[in-house]
Amino acid sequence: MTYARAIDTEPILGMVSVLGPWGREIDQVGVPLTNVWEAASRTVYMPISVPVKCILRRFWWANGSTVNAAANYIAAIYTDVAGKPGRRLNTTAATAQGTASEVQFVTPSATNVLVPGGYWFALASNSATTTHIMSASLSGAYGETIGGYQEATATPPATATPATRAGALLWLCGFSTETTP
Amino acid sequence: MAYLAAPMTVVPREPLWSFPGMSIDTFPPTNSAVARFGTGGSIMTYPSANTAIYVPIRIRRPTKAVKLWWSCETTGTDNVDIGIYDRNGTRLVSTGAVAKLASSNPLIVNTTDTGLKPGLHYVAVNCAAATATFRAISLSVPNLAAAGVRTEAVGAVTLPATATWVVNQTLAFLPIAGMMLDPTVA
Repeated sequence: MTYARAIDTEPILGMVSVLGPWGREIDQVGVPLTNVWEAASRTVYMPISVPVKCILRRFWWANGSTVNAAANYIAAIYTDVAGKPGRRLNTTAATAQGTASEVQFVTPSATNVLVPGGYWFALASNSATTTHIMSASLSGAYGETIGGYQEATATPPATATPATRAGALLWLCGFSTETTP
Repeated sequence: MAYLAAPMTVVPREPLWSFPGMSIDTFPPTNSAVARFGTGGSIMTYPSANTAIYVPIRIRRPTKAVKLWWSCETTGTDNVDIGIYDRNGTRLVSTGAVAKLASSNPLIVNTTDTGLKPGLHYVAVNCAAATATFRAISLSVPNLAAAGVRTEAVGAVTLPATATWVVNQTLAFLPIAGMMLDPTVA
């Protein structure tokens, strides 16, 4: 006698993170710690795999132990085109860095329905002066192979022109599928 | 001549490795909605008395929870409560107030067998004393807030029927707790 195969159903996460189950959840990722943002006027693209249809309602990033209220951050999400970031789907406005050691939520002007697939989460800042963000370090060559791409701009553009990643940090950021809390 | 709308196929037997484990808990990345942080547990005191901690977990197939557990350490026999909530904050099952173990063992409590549909759920814990010790994961803030772990100042040890949870930006205590799926485990 045989039984029908049970099919796993991936739940919609509340907090989607580039370091979480839909992100780069691998052994080589260390515990996220506070690190200064890597360079002024830089956008970093980090991959996210969305396995189930969901709604992007808020962006967020995790501020580190020292913040710079004069620095602006922008978060955005991009389509995947042949394994690289392509077209921008949604973005926040330029937002002053908030409270130290807190998750900072930013609600975009519109929500997005994301269908299953690969996406790129972008985080950008115009300053690298005491602008700490939580991040995890990727050991050895992993940084370049799965750490994503970057672009020399403080404003994630409508269409990405990704360059090879110079750093080995994955910044702790993502989106929320819920309006509150 | 009529044809079947769908071709007849042999339904493959479920491979043993695809069954869910004996426990769905807050730490292993297979079920947890919290990222794997590559760190082990340590002995920690409960961060705040009568404050519930809600840890997201992923239920990916119909599951029946039969027991709830929480990894204890040697200090304190204060009352605790362990429960499961759905993603809307509705309590599905809980142990009620039970005395914590004063030893380095998991407290395992029989509960009403509770069917869980696939979806995001929360394992909830609460303790009546901030002096009681548990096996837990210590993480720098705001890692747990970023992982979707939530808290609520309940004011008592009994977990509420409906959670009124908040993002706790200062929480650094990830409890090691979960649900047993196999009723034969003592």
